Amino acid sequence: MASDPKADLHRYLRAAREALLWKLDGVSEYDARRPLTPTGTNLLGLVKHLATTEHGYFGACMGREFPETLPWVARIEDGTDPNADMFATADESREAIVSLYARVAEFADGVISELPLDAPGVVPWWSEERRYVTLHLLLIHMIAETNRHAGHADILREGLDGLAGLRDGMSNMPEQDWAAYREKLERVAKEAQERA
Amino acid sequence: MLSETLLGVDEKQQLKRFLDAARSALVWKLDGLSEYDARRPLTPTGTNLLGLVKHAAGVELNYFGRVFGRPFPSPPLWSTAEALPASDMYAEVDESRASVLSFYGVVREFADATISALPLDAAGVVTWWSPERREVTLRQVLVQVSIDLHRHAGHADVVRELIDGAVGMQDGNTNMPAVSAGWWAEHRTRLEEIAVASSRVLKG
Repeated sequence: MASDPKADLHRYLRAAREALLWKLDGVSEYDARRPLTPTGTNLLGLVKHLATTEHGYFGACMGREFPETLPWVARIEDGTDPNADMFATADESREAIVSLYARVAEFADGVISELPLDAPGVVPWWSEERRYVTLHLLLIHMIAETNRHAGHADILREGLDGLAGLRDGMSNMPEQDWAAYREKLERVAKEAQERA
Repeated sequence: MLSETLLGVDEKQQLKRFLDAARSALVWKLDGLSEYDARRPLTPTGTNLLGLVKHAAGVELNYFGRVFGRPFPSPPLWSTAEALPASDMYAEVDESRASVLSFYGVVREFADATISALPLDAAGVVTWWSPERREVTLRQVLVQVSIDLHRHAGHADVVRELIDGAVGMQDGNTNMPAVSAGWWAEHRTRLEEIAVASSRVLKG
């Protein structure tokens, strides 16, 4: 079966975005925002971060312009709030962040569709030897980055209410007694520590 | 049509670099942890750092092996279809951390040999996928495995941070803002306050 490399990569990016958004489904406003690690990782912040990242890579880096200004980008760049894209402020509703991500995705999808994979781009904040890139590299980069953050979301969501799985409708996890499995792993970890 | 070289970079090399980034992040996340912390389950389904490395070995062994008619020699039982559920997601007591890491090293070399030997459009079959999807190319498998490992590296990031607060994208490149530990503590407090306030607003 013939496969089109660009269509394949584009599909992987879409799947990763969908997996990330699914992790927000059905959680309360508090759970969507509460920081769950020492550096404050939270579900809604991951969506805001990826919207920001895609807007940059498929926008300015590829010589295109996303038609909205994301005001927190300036606060990251001038150092007044270096993590400003990793959480939604009290004034920003969950709907506003999710809908921004949808608009950025639509914009990025347009850029990806229009340009060939070898279209050149520049990432000014990367090192001199790495910054001259192609659409191909940025697509792979965004696929990797979105999946890494979807991995963060997996663990956060599972910690919140136990929901786990690869994507909506396809958990990709075996059916088993997970409580018993976890107890066994805890026992094995303790025994391995004693032996060490 | 995809050109073979993109701004002078070989496409295969480019894809391989993303695979390598995920591999090295997964292994790095174990650095400096006790035997207990390397193995302890941190989620209800038992996610643990050493198990993620073992799982990655199983994934690579199958996708860069059987799929292209180059089966891994004497695959361990846990990497086969006969394995018990999720038995690739943790190391047994008699599997030392060193042996899991060294096995992953062997598997990576095996996978790299497949990647080097075959062209990106080499055909393979993922027999455990649905019939309409199972015919693949090396190009697709490289991306697919890379995606899987990056998602698991994300799991490792959070698990490791919950264990001892260590964070970062890669060894030597955290990709995190250069701020103090105190800044993060305040940041977290601020986020907690926003989350509480936002949920009160909604409740009216």
